[in-house]
Amino acid sequence: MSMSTTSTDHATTTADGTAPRTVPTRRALSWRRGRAVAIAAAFALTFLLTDYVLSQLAITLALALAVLSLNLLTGYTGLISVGHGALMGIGGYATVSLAVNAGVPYPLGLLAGMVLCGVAGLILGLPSLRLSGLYLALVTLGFAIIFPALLKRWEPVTGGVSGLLYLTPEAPGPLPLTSAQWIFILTLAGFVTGAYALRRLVTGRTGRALSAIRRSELMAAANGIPVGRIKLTVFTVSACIAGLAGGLYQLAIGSALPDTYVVTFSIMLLAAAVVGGVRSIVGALVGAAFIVWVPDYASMVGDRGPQLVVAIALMLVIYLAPGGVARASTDLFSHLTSRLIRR
Amino acid sequence: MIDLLQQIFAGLANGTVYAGLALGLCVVFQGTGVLNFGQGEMAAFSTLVTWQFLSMGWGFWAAMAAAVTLSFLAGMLVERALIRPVEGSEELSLLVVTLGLFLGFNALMGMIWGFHPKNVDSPFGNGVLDLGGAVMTAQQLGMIVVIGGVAMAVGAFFKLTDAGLRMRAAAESPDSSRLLGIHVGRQLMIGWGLAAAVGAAAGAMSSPVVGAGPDMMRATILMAFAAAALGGFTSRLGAVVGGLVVGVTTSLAAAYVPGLGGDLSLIVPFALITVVLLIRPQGLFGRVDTVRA
Repeated sequence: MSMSTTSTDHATTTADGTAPRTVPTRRALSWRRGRAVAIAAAFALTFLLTDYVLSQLAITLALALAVLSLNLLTGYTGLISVGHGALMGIGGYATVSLAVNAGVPYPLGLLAGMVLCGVAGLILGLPSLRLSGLYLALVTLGFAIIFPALLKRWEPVTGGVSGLLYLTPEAPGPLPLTSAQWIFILTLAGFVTGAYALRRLVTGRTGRALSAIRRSELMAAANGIPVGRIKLTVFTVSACIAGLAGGLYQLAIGSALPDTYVVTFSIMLLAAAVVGGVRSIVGALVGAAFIVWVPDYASMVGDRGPQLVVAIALMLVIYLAPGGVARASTDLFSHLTSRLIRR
Repeated sequence: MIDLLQQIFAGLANGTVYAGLALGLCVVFQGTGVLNFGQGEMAAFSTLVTWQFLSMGWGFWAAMAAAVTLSFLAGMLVERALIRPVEGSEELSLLVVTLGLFLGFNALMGMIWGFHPKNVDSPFGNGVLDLGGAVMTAQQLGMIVVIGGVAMAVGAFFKLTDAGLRMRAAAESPDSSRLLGIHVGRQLMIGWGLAAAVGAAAGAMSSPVVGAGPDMMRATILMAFAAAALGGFTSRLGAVVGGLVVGVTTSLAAAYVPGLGGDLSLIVPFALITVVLLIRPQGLFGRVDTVRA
């Protein structure tokens, strides 16, 4: 699971033709080493934490993966989706429904969910060819509003109002792991892969094209960027990742219920993206942790306490730290350290 | 035939509610360029305030008038305190603030009044009007008359009064208005106040039918967005016409298209929004904006 070599770090050939690789700068090296250590440490958590905490973490990671998919679409490309909760629902229901109704093993179900979601994302993305900004948000919000109604109606496949009973799968035979440990490893692997894919997409040539589209579609088109094709592709890729996230989320929580994927769930996902920072991988983790762990405490205030807390947090972030909590805290940290060093 | 008329009446009555909310959406959009996704929850909140006054023994009209007045003030406050700081920033910030309004008002309602819809007695009694076999309830007729009246009053305010002219000017070109001594910020506040007040009236009028509760506007707001999209987000007349069209279309589709009843009738406004925005993004009555890169 090493992410330590990327092609961008390779040097071009030198004048004498020996073509040595330049040594990456010390800063880049320490970053990469830090990242590898963090990922290894995260996997090591499997054996250090209780099953309950692990399953909570698995839920957080699955949501973080969904937030990453939203980052790609909304943060980097500037296409606002309020329907990613519903896309997660498609992925989740595909996995569970195939397992329950047809006995399909869940890895295949996850894959099927991704494909299905990709198709749904492609269709949902079509309006983005003509619409931008708030109008696109409106269409995707509409999709999020009708989605639970569709789930309730399509009973043979979705189990209707009562949903589908499903048990969190066990670890494959020979592995001495509990179910919670196994699901945690799966979701962590999913998140790391997603984060890696996102980084590859948003840096370099593609990344520059995406941010050009975000800043001004007209300018992007004038510079020869195939705006429409890229928008559709991004929508499809983002939906695929959301579908995978939905499948993993469903594996972590078990039974599939239509009330999981209501419109507020979609809004919460967008809230997580904004609170963490829409262009930050760490932010996706922070945001997902926020919407998973805050409700545990806020529900003491009442049934919809969590929702109120999220609403207040959203407003505060928009007013005080529009780049998101993750960036605001690194900024604050470097500000403080630079002052300390100066003294 | 009689059944068809019946469905059309029901659709028109519901349509006035959509028209009222859509009118609020338009006034806000024209002024501040914000699609207020929290409009429905704000209206539901106002409706529960109406219910609160009713439960204290007030008469229906007094309770509604009080709630409408309070909503006007609250709408102004929301604009000044929550929208003004993000005015002119990127679309995502605007959207997120209104989604915050959605979550926040919804949560507050749940915490104050609980989740069960409250029954409200119709102020028009239980009478029915016989129109050649088809029946219209007094409640339906009352809704059409009252919300129609409110919509016309708002329209007249914008077209006929000086204050309305100032508001149109501020929405049309804020910079020139400022040079002419118009306090643009104040106009925007009044716009949000008006939107909240119209929403409160529409909510109170529909509460005898759907009950007053935190989730009463969940479906209605989608209908209102469909209405505003159909009419064009920049046209007040369009919003009202759109509301009636959406009301009747949904009612007919739910009755005559197999499988579209109940929850699934929401597909109608969703399809309308998508199709209208794709084919004619400016709506039936709206203006086309040219964009400069």
